[in-house]
Amino acid sequence: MLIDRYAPGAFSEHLAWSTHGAAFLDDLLPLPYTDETLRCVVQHIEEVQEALGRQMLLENPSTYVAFAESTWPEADFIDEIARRSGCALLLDVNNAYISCTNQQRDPGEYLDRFPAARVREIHLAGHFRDTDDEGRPLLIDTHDREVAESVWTLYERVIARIGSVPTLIEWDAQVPEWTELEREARRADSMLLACGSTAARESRAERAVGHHAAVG
Amino acid sequence: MRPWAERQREFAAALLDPARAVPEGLTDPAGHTCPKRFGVYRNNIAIAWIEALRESFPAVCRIVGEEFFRTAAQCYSACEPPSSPVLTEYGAGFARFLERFRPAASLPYLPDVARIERAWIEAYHAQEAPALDPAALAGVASDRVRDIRFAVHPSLRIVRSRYRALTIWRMSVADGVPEPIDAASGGEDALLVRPSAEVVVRWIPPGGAQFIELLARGEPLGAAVQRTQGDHADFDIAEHLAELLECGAFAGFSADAAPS
Repeated sequence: MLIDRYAPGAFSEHLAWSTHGAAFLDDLLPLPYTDETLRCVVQHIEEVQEALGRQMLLENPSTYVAFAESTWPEADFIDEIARRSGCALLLDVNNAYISCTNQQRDPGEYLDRFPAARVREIHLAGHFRDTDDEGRPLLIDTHDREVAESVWTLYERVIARIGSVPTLIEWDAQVPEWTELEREARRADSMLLACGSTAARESRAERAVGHHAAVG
Repeated sequence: MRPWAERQREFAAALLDPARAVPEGLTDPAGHTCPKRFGVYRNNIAIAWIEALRESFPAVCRIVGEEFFRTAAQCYSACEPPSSPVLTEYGAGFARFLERFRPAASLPYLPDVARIERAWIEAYHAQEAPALDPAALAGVASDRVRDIRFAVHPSLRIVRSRYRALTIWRMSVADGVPEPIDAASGGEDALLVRPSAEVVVRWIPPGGAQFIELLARGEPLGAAVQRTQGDHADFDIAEHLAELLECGAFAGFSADAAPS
């Protein structure tokens, strides 16, 4: 298997589908969040993990429509999948922002709900701002430009909560000059460093408090 | 609500056929069906398929121009969507589609240029195999030469054309320089093979395609020469065989007499 040859640090797949019947539908297509699809996804993840002999990461998708029959909020659905299948998670902050904005939900609340302890990797990317038939924002995951300011803000909030997690800038269409991509990578790096030092300071402070408490 | 399998079937059918209505229950924030939102998925898929074809058929695209190519690719993918997630496999039927695509009827050589591009991709992704070292044939006794059966290289492809498709393809790839040619000056057959890292593309003389196809079918050398020279009296076997060996068209051989 390819995975044996390259032994990657992580293997991930999206919460989405791309093939049906005889056709390959080259996109990440959405699914309803119900008890039925939950069982289906868990079973597929278990098959993947068994075939690969390792834990996989599941990535939250960008979505443009919601399913009327959904009974689970997306973050809870992903949390439950991870609990049942034992998979870890890949948090795409841009996808979370897109999906929430497209359904006029609060991305901050979504991210606060996202099961932080299982996140092993973070993705950031640029998106295109369009509007739907009613003139409401319709964001499209294009990976063809710089990461939006609102996504950087959410990223900062995420890493402040879950700590320093390996982060990838996805820019795979209209690829820019290296210096521009490097600037994005450095920005993520400096935010990770800052959050790491904050976390370290906080943990030192906690230890100090604990020490005093023991002495006292 | 209906089971997921049924919903999924309906979703896929609506993606493949833009004339179909957006399935019920795919909603916007107000809980209404929203065609433009579903259109994002339709559009993403259409673009992905067109892009896959554009990457596989750059010479065809350069000949007809970007806009014409996109329309042709869209028509093709509507009737023949990819069946595999490996998109380099997509486009096996594109040349045949171009033959019937009436807006391209004034470019009769176009399907054969597409065949060369397709053969190039197939050769590029074919199984690896070392090419036969011509020196290995030195040990064959002269009375056994006519019994030699070659194993052609797994990447070997032949494209026959009634047009000057190979010349047109060469002029239309990235660093090619288009020049006027005499369209009525006869056909060209091409051989493509990848003995190591790079795909080798060669012009083959009249009779050459038939000769290689006979060898590929397992005909012994003597019989293949006889049949080819029967149809092409001036076919220069020594020169052609040397060229085939030199470009890595074979992966091995055996020189045993045919089992009787």
